[in-house]
Amino acid sequence: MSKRVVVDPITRIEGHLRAEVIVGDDGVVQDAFISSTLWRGLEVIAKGRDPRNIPLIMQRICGVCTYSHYLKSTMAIENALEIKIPYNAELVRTLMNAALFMHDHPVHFYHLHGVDWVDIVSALSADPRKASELAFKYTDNPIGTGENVTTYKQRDNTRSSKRSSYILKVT
Amino acid sequence: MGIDNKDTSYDSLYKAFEERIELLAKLPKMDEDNSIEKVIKENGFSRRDFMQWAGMVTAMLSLPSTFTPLMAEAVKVADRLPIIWLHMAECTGCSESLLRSANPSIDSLIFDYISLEYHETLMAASGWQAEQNLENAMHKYKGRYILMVEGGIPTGNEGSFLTIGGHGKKGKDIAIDAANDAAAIFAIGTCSSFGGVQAAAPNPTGAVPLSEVTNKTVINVPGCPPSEKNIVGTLLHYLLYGTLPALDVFNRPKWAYRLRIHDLCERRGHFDAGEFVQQFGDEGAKDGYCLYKVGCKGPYTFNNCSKQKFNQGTSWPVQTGFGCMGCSEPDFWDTMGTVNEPLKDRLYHTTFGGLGADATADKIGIGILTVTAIGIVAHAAIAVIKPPKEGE
Repeated sequence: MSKRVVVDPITRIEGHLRAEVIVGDDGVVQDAFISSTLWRGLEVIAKGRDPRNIPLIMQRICGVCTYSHYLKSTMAIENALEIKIPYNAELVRTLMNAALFMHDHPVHFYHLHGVDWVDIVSALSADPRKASELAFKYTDNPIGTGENVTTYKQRDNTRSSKRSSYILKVT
Repeated sequence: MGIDNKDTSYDSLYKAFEERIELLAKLPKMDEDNSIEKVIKENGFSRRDFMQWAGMVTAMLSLPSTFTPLMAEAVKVADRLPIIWLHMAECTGCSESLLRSANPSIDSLIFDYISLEYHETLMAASGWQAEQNLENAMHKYKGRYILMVEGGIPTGNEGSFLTIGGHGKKGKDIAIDAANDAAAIFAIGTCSSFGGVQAAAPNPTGAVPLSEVTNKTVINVPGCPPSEKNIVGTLLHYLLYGTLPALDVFNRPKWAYRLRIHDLCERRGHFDAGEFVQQFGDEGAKDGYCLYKVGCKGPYTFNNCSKQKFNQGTSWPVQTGFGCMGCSEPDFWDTMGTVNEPLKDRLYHTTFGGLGADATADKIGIGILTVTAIGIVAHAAIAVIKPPKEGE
């Protein structure tokens, strides 16, 4: 007999989410379903309104990713009306998005979904060098691994020597 | 000479507060090892910072500065009041307003310190554990807990637009049940106060404010989002008084929503001088002129944004150069018109429609504001004919 596991509400997210997982006798997941248990109909509300009001309405999709929906809604309107924006506007948008990115990641990691996967208290006693070494096992170019400046350089040297040996082999 | 400076009414209020704090202090603490001094210290604030903050909150609640030590005492017993925070049809922006600051502000620390029994964005538990936490808290603190609700309540299609929990309980039913046994109910944000964005026409989910699904008194703390000061202030007000604050016609606490954005605005001088931003990016915009003609809804909105500000008191919409959009007024998505245009002739319709765009904090004020509103339009019209000084 397979077992149905329901997780609802999924906490530490924006909004309301339900996950259902069918687990077989062998403990292997056979099937999984996700449903958002809230519908607000902002798409319906947007119809027939002045396009200048729409980004503000769409921004209310999520109060955690404060800028993303505002930006994309603005871009959708520009796309529909074939509006070309000045270079400065692009720069400002990029800066704002980068600011949100920098704010959003720590919030998500330490405050919201990171708690599901990480024991935050023991993170204080972690060894950054070991963590950095571990990161290099999975990618050549990890971001923000503490020791990465020096290790990255060392790694880069070995990589380029590898590449040159590879080129040598080919030739 | 001969005048008695002693204000007896404040004396009795002071005594009443002292008694209430004493009463609360006798209630069990959430965590015996925790204290507000510890929380403040651990987060790098000094006692001086804390007392300054307490003084600010005291002033915000219109109390004399002699009440500051009492406010500090009240915060110490804040963990005696269990709080249940529900998420209905919402975006979590109100929670974020309180919690997401560059450095934790004292306001957000208070929120860590209080006995938050249920808050979906903050609690570690998920799934059935979360559901059980809510049931336990409602049972254990029956009649004692403070209920804070974020988000409108979808009632369309029998409320099936929102379900929470393994048994698929409807959001509407959860809100009603939680409200029934609450000592005080605060609707945090415009959605739970007035329906909010999902209640904008044509309101596909039949979203209504919390006050429409319960017959108990709901204190509205609107704003999209409200500032952290207004949220924490409402809580501390209840903590001190033990009763509901003085409310305006829309059940908003008067200490926060008594005055118009327009009247508290730092650009008001430019309005009076007829100096308007005609278009974003013009010389007027650079000089910080009034934003009425590029759509500021400050004249129709009641809030304390310009005083308390956002992001730890850094700024607020008008200060950044974008007009107020009227977010603390009922149905503002429908009644405030286009965001970058003034209301102009639509003003009369909304005034007499009574939907709140132009209604004042008090019924008495409605007539007065109508006159003001006509004045605003006339004033702006004159300024079109006579544009601000040219040839700088």
